[in-house]
Amino acid sequence: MSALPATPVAESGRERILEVNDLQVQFPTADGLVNAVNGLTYSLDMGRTLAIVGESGSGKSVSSMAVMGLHDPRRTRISGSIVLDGTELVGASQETIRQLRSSTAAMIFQDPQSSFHPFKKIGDQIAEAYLVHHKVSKKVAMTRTVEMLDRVGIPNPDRRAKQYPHEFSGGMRQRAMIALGLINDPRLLIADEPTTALDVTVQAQILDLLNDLQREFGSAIVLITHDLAVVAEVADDVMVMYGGRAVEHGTAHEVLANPRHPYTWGLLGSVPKLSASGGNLRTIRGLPPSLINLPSGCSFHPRCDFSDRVPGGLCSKELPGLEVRAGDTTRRSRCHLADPAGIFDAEIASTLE
Amino acid sequence: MLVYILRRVLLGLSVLLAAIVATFCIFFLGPSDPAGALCGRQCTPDRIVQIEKDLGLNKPKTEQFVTYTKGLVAGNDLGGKKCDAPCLGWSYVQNRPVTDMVKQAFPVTVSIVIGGIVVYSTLGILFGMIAARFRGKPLDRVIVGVSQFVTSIPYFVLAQLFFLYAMVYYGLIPRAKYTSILDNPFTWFTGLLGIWLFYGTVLSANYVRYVRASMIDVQNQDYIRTARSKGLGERKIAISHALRAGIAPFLTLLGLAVAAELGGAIFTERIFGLQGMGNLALTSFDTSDLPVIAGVVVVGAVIIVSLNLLVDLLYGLVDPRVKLS
Repeated sequence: MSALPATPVAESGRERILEVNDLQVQFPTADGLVNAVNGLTYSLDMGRTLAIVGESGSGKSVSSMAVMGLHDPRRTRISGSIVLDGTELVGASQETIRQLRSSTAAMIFQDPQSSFHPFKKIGDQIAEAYLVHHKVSKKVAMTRTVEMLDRVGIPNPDRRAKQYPHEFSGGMRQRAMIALGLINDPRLLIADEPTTALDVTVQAQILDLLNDLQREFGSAIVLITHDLAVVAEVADDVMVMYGGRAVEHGTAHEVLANPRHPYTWGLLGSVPKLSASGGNLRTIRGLPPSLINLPSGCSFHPRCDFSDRVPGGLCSKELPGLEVRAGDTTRRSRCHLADPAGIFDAEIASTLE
Repeated sequence: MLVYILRRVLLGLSVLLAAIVATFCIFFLGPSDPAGALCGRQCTPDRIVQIEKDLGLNKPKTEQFVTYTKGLVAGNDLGGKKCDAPCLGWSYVQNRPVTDMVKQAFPVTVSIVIGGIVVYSTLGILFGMIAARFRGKPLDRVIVGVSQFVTSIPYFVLAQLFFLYAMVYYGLIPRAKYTSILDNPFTWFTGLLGIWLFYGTVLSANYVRYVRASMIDVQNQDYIRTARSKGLGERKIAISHALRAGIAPFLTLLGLAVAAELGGAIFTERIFGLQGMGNLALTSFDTSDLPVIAGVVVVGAVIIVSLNLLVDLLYGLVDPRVKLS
């Protein structure tokens, strides 16, 4: 698999910031080995936004936490390769990883309520990250922090920096979280569902903010989400994950407008429609796969409505590779169907109004 | 803030009043014969009447209660014996003000408890953190095992053994001796050091597992992950982030425990022969010296109420989310 082209959108001239190759993340538990990520390969260039979508347990958060080295090494098995800005992280010392955190790659967590220390002032918590990587006085770090809070649109940043997390509203806390993520001008920003806890208007503001900041700093963004509306708004590339593997990876236009994988069809189909007519929500039947006993062959086959169109029960026997299929130039997908484009145009497109 | 403190003080006072009423009812309305106890062997009915008159025991119970409470606030004049406020009554047996006896015993208990707190907080937090850090490893098992073993043996048994073997038979540790810190701080320290180490070490066993559980809980919090994602070192995370949150609940526990211990470290004082509040209470139980028992109870109530208030105020300092209003 590592022989495959690492990225479907090989843009020349841009510097590669992240290269993940055949990444596997496993957690030994009392019930058995949890295979959270099973051979994930992708890469990201500076200035691009990659959205990783998929349901809970698809491995999107776990794989991104691995990029930050945030898994407890005593309780996690990681293999494969993660090259961040030229440094191999798998097998690297804690000290090497520590120095890259926040300065090269920063992470914005999904729950800003619990992700800030409840007993410490917001400004101090952000300044602390700056102080770790810069030899400056506390005063300089605090000035920088206030600037950053101002940049992410927090009014009265001077005063706000001296407040505690519980004195912030949800949206303001998420902005502060972003300020924390950007304080060291990281080249890669990983945002783990940065807008799930927020209402729609604040959501839009936060996404705009991320877009603006990316334009300003030119950093790369990995956006983890299950909200496809968010993806359409900000992503350049989209990677759909299922059962710890990428099942479809291409530009946002390719994946959202002409998806080739039945799981992506299901995801798009289950987006609620805004209409007065009501009706039932459409779902993907079945449950997410057990990560301890992944289904044989294609992990999605027990839930796939189209597996009977593949001759010889191939879907349950053989795992399809993540490859560029006929009719595509850059997008890679992982499906045995001979003509997914035909099926999509004939049967699926009309249902996705 | 000021309103909060004022309200808490008023609330505390009402609790104290209730405690005084209850104490009075239990000890002075019950079937006791203080005059007979005071009278001694060559007792005549006349003498009993005289003593009852002196102590005001011939008056109605309600009047006695008013006198008792008034004594606490403003002092009293008991049958010609002057008793300054706060007057806790007059000891039947020792024939002196209870307040004096408490004043003598209290510093002893305070000395024992404060030294003990220093030792058991330090050991409890230290070993609790170590156990949490090495969770599941042999070191953790040893620490938890030892602490479980120690807490499962009654304290008075351990204290007896320590006294007999370490102090008496082998003389490894000098016997406990109390001198006032005001008279001689050095002998105050050396005289109590053995007790502090013993008492503190045994009690720390209770806190080791508590701190360990609290630290493990904190380790899994999202804000620890955030701290790590900032690039902070593990030591900084453990001390500045995890410990700060981990010991907050410990503070509440500590406040309540201290209050209870100040009321009388009974076993410690009895076994090591120190004349503190616990011993005072025990001696007066033996001699049915009701005013002294009641006095110890009232003083204990005052300590518990004020330490509770102190802990709440301190908690507001540690956890900014706690609004004191």
